[in-house]
Amino acid sequence: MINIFNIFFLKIMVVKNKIRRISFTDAAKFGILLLFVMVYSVGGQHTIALFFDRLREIPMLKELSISKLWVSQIILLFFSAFTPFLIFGGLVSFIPTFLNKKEIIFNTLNNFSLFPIFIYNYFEVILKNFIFIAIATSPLLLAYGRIFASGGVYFIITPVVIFMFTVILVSCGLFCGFIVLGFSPRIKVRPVINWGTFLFTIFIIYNLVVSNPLNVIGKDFVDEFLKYAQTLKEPSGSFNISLITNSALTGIVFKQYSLAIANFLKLAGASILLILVNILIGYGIFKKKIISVMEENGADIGTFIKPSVEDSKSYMNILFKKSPMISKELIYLHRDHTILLQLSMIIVLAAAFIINILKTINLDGETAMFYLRLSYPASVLLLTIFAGRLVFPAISAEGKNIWLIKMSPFGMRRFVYTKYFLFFAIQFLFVFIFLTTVNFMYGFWGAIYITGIFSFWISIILTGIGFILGILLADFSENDPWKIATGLGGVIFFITSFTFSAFPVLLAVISYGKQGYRKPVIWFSLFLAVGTFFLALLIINKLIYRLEKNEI
Amino acid sequence: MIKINKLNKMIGNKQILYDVNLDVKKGDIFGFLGPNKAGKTTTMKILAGILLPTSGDVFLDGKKMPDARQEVIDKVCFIPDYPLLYDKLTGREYLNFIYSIFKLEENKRSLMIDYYLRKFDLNDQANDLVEDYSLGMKQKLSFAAAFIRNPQVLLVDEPMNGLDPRASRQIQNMFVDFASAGGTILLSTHILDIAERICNKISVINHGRTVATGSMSELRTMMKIESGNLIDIFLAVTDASND
Repeated sequence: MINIFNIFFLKIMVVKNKIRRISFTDAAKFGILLLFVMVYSVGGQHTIALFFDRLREIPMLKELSISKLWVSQIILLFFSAFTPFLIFGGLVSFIPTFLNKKEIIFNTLNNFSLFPIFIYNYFEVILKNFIFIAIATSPLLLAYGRIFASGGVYFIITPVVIFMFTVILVSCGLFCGFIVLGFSPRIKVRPVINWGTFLFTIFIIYNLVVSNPLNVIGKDFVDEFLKYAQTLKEPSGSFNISLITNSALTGIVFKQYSLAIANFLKLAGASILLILVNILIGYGIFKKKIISVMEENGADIGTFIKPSVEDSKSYMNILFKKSPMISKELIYLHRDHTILLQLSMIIVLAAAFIINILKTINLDGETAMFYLRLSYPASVLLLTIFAGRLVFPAISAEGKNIWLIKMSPFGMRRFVYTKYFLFFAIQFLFVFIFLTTVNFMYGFWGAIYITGIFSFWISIILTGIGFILGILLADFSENDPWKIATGLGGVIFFITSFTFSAFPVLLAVISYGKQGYRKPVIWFSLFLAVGTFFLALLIINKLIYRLEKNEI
Repeated sequence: MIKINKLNKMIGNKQILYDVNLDVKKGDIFGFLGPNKAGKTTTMKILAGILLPTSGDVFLDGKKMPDARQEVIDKVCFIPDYPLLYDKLTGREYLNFIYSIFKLEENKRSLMIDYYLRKFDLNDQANDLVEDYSLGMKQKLSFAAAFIRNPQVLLVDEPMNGLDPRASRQIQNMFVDFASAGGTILLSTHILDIAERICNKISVINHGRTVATGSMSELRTMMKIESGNLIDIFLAVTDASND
């Protein structure tokens, strides 16, 4: 709730003061990570486990009011959110930071004597981002420390943790930057990191700091929490850095300094390792790739050139004959680096989500079911973000070229339907693979047909709403689909589609969980899915008429 | 080929066009001149079917627009003042795309695409992404995409933006060839030398009203300028209409 309030508050603030626009995506990114943390971060999993599995064992909770209980949980979830936020926020921010420096990196890699410049740039980025991260996270880390530890050690160790964290994040960014550059040396990059994100982070943190949890939950509760947290199983943060960081912090909290030191060493080791890996990759794959491209084009070494798409390799020239619009869209999906980066971020989130489920496999049936139910809203949030980026801006992304379509025999109707079915297929594929994997992780091997039905239904809802709102709120003057997705239309789409998608999710959970209800629920869902499909087409059909007849 | 009677256009509360009249015959290169914000582009967009007239009649090839837009869609090509291109496609892919959405003769696809790439000196950059093209190259690609469709009517808005002198002259020559072969061009430009060189008829629009129409000699007679060039005529016409 606080998060939603913040989004709108900031929007109003921005409109009033006409300062830099803070995108909905930034807020959504943060929001999704907050929810994501429920199954992702160590703190979140502790909290969930504590709340649903062991909380009832705490005697004092019987005296705690329900509202206070919820508030305390929400606050704890907020606290546990910061690590994944930094990881993914960092990745998204730092990849472009490096891509913007691609010419420096490239030239350095071609000339060993420039190696110090490469190192200098590397650490320059680390230092700059250290300041950014330190400013952005210190209040939160200090607030975290205020709750769980009282000693000054925490305050000394915090900057060290932040620094090592920065090194890892920047190194990950560079690593991903190399991968992206390696795949597509021609890309042009626009910085993603912006002051809006920074302001937003500060604002959220400010809210957290002023709403001191001690005022809400009391010292006794914290003591009880810590006592029970110690009895929990090994934290299940899986492969991520947050596990190590949390272990390091927890070590201090519980005054287990050997544990803390061990984890700090792990962080330092990871930092050094990533730096070495990056240097190796830089001198290996990346350089080799660029040199080979340059040699093919007969360019002088030391000049950064943009290679041509070889005609024989200009895939789709044949497909253009049959399906020009599909070919064009697929080419854009491949060549537009912003789509690549944004979708890869979502896919990384999805992958991390699924990998974390592995940690719950050994849980008993009831707890596993709880995780499954919990994971569905988070899944839908992910799917909605995916659709928000891909489907909603699909019509507006055509920009002024829509004139070309309108003036061609291809026509608006075919244009909209081609895009609709293409994006429906992509959306369905993503939803189906994602949900199937989640289900398989939970051992629902026989439920693939149920997953198919619900994937179909959720995809219809997301694609249908995306196209209906996409046509209604079309803005052909904006050529950057990301801006379309993050504008007011994107907010409306996000809220609407998330709300509507909740219904199939609810039915899906019922059909998975309750054997007796499964058949009727599935038939009912199938009926509604088909109904939604035709309803969406009917509305889109009416709206196409508007596009055909009205001025655009 | 193009006929406009008493065309009015309001955008919001603002009236852009006032009773605009035009009559462009087949084979004409019709210069449509006027200062900035005079209403040239709005008229062009109405002819192309992008904007709708508030009142008045617009006919293309004898068919009333926008009702008959589908019937004349193959015959008319609008080239706006900035190139409408897909940046992430290569020049060749873009022409392929155009070839497909306009459903052109399939067995001549490669032949035509290669021909127009060569004709506009884009052959060497045919496999580069459009985003890497200069403005002039983009403009050339726009023209290649227009001519490849073999339209009967070209609506061209400020065609020489970004073109070097050689390319500009090449485009002008192509316009003349196109008109000689029976094509019709409505050419909006503020480069009056070009209009004077290639247009056989000219209409001047100012503040949304057509203030003068005719051949160069007719305009000279109208404005009582015996030996002036088009710039003199244009200034005289617009000054008179401002008064």
